[in-house]
Amino acid sequence: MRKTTGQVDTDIFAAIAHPVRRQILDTLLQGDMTVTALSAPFDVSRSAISQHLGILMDSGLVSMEKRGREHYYQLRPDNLNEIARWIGQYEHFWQQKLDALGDYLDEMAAQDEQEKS
Amino acid sequence: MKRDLKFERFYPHPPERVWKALTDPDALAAWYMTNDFKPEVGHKFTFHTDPGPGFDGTLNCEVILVDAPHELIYSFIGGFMKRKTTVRWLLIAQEGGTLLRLEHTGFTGLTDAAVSFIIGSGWGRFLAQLPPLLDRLAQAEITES
Repeated sequence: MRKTTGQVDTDIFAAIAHPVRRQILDTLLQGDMTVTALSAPFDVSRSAISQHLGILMDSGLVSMEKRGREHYYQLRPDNLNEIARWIGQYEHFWQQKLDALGDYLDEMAAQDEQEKS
Repeated sequence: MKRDLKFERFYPHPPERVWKALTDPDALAAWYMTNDFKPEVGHKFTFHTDPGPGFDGTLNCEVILVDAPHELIYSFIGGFMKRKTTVRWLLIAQEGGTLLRLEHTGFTGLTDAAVSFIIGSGWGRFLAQLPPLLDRLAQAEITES
């Protein structure tokens, strides 16, 4: 049911790109819920909510547990760490490049000096 | 909502030298990425870097603006950037060197949704589990708003 972390792909971005799905995730922050309870605040059909839940489960952000006759949905926030790591990579990338540029400029200057002397 | 990456660095080197490092293909290959860059508006080129998760290491770019030795802008797409982003290098001559401003902007769609969602208030309680970067992003949000 649950994907392991590190398997993050565009699914997870697609999953949270939809406002209804973000609202579902926000609602699940309060605790595990059935699809009926989750549908209540929305002006969309239960089957639409089920479809959104399916996408959220595929992304690994939500899992489902059967308790008696009811299916309860629960939040799996671990995968968000993966998104965070991805975004972090951008910042890390630029910081690293700017460091490298500094070193390179120093080298250029040293070479210019050598050529002069 | 903060969606852009902005950095500033001071280098104790004249703008001309910084410009060369930013626009000479051999120089770029040495510190930045292998490339077929030319400082000509409209030139389409690629940068190649190490592949990562969800990223084959290729960035497809196009030169948008060349104003030596002041400003260089190119578009940037690759990895999980679904649309073109913009990388802008601004060289500001200062006493004893150059202030380099780097802006990576234009994140729209899914990436934005991810960023804004993670640092959105409802998820504040998970911030503790996230890398330090997000804490800083969140802080920047608070101070900016």
